[in-house]
Amino acid sequence: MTDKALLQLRDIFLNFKGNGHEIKILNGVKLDITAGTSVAILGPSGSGKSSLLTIMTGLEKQTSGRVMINGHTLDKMNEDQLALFRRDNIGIVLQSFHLIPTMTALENVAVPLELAGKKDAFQIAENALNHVGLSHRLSHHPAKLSGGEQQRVAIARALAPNPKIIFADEPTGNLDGKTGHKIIDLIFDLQTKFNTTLILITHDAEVANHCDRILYMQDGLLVERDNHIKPPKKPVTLKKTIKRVAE
Amino acid sequence: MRNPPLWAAFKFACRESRAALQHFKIFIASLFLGTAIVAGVGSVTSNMSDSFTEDGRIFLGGDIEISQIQQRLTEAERDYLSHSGLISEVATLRSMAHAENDSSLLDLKAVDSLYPLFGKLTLQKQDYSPESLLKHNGIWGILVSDALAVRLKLEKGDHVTLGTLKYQVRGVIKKEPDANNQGFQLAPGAIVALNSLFENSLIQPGSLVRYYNRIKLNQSVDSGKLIKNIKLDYPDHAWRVRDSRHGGGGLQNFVGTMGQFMTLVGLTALLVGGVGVSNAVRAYLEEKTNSIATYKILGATGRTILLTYLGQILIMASFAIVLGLVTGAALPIIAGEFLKDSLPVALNLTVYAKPLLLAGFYSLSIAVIFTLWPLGQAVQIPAARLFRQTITLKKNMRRSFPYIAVILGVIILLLTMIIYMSDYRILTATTLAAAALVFFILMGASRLIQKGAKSLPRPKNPIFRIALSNIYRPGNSTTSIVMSLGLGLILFTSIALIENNILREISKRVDAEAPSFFFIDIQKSQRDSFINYLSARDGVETYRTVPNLRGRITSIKSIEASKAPVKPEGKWILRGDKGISFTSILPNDNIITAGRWWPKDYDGQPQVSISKQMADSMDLDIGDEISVNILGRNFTLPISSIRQFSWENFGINYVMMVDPKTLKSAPYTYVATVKTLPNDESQIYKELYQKFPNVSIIRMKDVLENALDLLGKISGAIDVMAAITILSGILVLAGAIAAGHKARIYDAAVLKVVGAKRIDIIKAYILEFILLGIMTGTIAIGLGSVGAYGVIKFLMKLSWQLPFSIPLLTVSGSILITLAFGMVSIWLALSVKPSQILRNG
Repeated sequence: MTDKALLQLRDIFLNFKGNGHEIKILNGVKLDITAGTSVAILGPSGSGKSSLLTIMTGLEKQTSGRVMINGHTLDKMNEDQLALFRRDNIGIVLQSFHLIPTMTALENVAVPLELAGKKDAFQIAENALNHVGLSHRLSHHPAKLSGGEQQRVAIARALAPNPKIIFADEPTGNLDGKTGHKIIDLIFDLQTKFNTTLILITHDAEVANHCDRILYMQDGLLVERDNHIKPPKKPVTLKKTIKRVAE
Repeated sequence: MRNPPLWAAFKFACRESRAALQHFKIFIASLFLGTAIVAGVGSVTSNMSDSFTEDGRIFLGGDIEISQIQQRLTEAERDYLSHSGLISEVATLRSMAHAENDSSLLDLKAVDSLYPLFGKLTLQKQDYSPESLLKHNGIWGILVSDALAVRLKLEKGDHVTLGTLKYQVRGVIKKEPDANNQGFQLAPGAIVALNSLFENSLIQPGSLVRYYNRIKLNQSVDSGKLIKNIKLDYPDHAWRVRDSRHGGGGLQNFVGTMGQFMTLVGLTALLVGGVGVSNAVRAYLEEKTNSIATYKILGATGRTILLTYLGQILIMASFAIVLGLVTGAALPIIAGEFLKDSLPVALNLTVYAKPLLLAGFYSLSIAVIFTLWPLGQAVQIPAARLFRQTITLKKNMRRSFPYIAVILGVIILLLTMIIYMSDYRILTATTLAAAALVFFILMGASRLIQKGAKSLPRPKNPIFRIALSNIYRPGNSTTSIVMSLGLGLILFTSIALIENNILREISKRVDAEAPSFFFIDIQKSQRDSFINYLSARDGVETYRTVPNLRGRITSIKSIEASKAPVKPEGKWILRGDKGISFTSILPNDNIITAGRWWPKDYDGQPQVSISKQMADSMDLDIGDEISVNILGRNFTLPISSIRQFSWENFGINYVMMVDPKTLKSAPYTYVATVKTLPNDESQIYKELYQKFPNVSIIRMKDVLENALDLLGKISGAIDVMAAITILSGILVLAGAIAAGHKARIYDAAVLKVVGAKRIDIIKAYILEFILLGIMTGTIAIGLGSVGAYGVIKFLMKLSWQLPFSIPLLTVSGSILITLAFGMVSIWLALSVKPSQILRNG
């Protein structure tokens, strides 16, 4: 454990019961993440990436182990305390954007700020939308925005409260390649600009290469590799990517 | 970490409400309907009550009214009263009216030249003048009601005979200002001059005539003080003294009763609507699952989520309630327009706060009761659902407890308020308890249907399989259909069965036991010739004559009658004058339940035999004393026997019968019943009214027609209740089917892709709705029959029969309604292309 670790995971186990059997998802994950770094968690579907993310964000409780963010132990908090903690410390960007359909882009971004009781919520939200290049789409509802624009709104919403750590779960999963690249560039630009810690869940090796650290989810454990993966010239299957990484 | 501010939840609620209206159509319609009925009924009732109070003296015919049976005021009494104001005298009695070819029983009103002291008597095509009733060329005038004019084919200028006098028709009555003051009218009405009565043979000793003396008070006279003085100065007089507060009379009571009854209708509609409210909120919150999880991810606490969505629901509920209140407040104008000819008062646009506040409170409570549970469940949606859609809500009773506590609290508050505000608290409480019981039975029945469908072996035919599995699959419409239609259909079935059994019983008894005619006001001198005629006439099967007087109970066990403790079922006995008879022989159909009937040649102290109902309701026993004022004379009568008899056989029965010696010298008349062979009925009627012109003849046919008309009106009012409940149910049904519509579209698309023909899909869905219609109808028949059986067998003590037609009608109606709404959903589901659905997931 390093002294400057913003996020600490200690022996995280997660088991589910299904059809009378116990299914082991996480098998004692250990992790320290320093403030200001970007970390990619790579792994195939069903490897437990998203489960780990829900535990790190306090959305689900692990079977055993300890999660600490910025010196706060999440395990001891109740649901409402976790919600408030997320509001003040964490930003989350999801694959399916999850904007509130009845609200405009500006209102969506303002929600976490309003929840924090900020009087200038709309001013901050407008600035955040300027940062993601959507100053001309403030009053548009999600249904009137393209997938890429919706994800930009979601990024602005995650960044607006100035969180210490941002979790992004497959942020390009629902976007075409070109738009996906733009979104990834935007996320890293903003991460650098605001010096935020970024944890990126992805199964795209090329996306993962943007990060300072790459971790692989394997058999319910995180395995760290020093070298970055050379992006394939031709599209390859996920199976091949993992095989290559394993080699 | 500061909690999110309240204003944030309020802002979110407002923002989300912008697009929520389309999801809340059924929610709004259900709440609107119930609110509008409760508010409307309250507004109309308050409006009419106010009019009765404001215009009470018009309805009463004076500032105060002193009336008594068979006796006019003496000169001294009239002189005493005339110091207080102007007196107008009116008399009412029943008589026969004979025209050229026909005759009819008549409710006659005889008036003096001052009539009416207040208000206006309006005639068709002409103005009223007292002149029109006076003697012209030796013939008195008569104003006839429209009903009498039609029945006897009378026109202006025609002649009609009443008793021994001929009258000329001088006009047709349109509206009498004091029409409601005369109570129940058995026959069509007419007005003649009071003085004409005294030239006529209609009034004989013992005739059933009531004299009303109405006073238009001098400005300095206070009606309350005057009434007090009258009672002090004339303590022994059997006068009925009323002031203008009682002007509405029976109608005022009727309006109040109907108001209470219709409020229950509105509350039932609200209760059924509650299912729609709950369904709408549940469906809406299901759609909002991701938004709720998103709020949580962004840092919203459970409280903020609760306030956000409760805020939205309250915004929608307020919209529906305000709309309902506005409609309800405007209802007096709409009702006034429709009922202007039947109502004695004009309804106006006055906003009454109390009924509107009550309606608002009832509706808001229903909204809270039916939305809090789904809301409580929604608040518990885990934020992790955004990562895994399969995460389901684990039931957490600890977290659900506050919601259960609040729901129970609101239910208790609502019930307390409804019962407290009702004039018929036991009836209201019973109705509410029955509605709640039925509600829970329906809920249980719908679960049983689903379990039953699930446990049946899977049919080989795919159409049957789809239809059957649609009944119990997740998100099915079974509970909503059974609950929404069930209550209304149960009500319909039980009313129809009760009505059917009563009518069958009446017709059975009329055929077997009921007399063909009742005769009133047979003079002592006429009795022998009356009996001689009947005993000699072929075609007369049976007859019975009994002496008849009128008397009013003034005290019970030495306690003034108005202050004596009397159970509700016996109160009618104390209301006004009641028939009293005397005889030495116990009537055939009477059974002595306590004490002894006096001997045939009894010659001792006065005694009275009373009915069991009177004894039970007034806690009277053998030896107790009652005082009765008969024709101005007070009799103190010890009870010597208690009798039981049945009113339902249409015979002559009396609550009080006095020994033969006590009343023998009183000025009484006879009443009689005669049963004839059906073929001789018309001829005997004609011969009798020609032979005894002063005797009033009531034909059983007419009584029956009146009774059936009254029964029809009552059952019509109850039918309105069932119709409104069914309408409310239909709204909920439409909502339930609409909620399942999305799943149906998806199913239809998938079935089409795997090769199902359009007709097969239609067949499967039709079968599903027919099955649900049959099951809902069957439950309604079962519960409706149990309710009707209880009323007929135990309350009315009549014989019970289950006619085939009513269950058939209930099930057909249930199938038709379910199928009609189902077909709309089927048609819409099939009109969507599979590619459109499957591409969008």
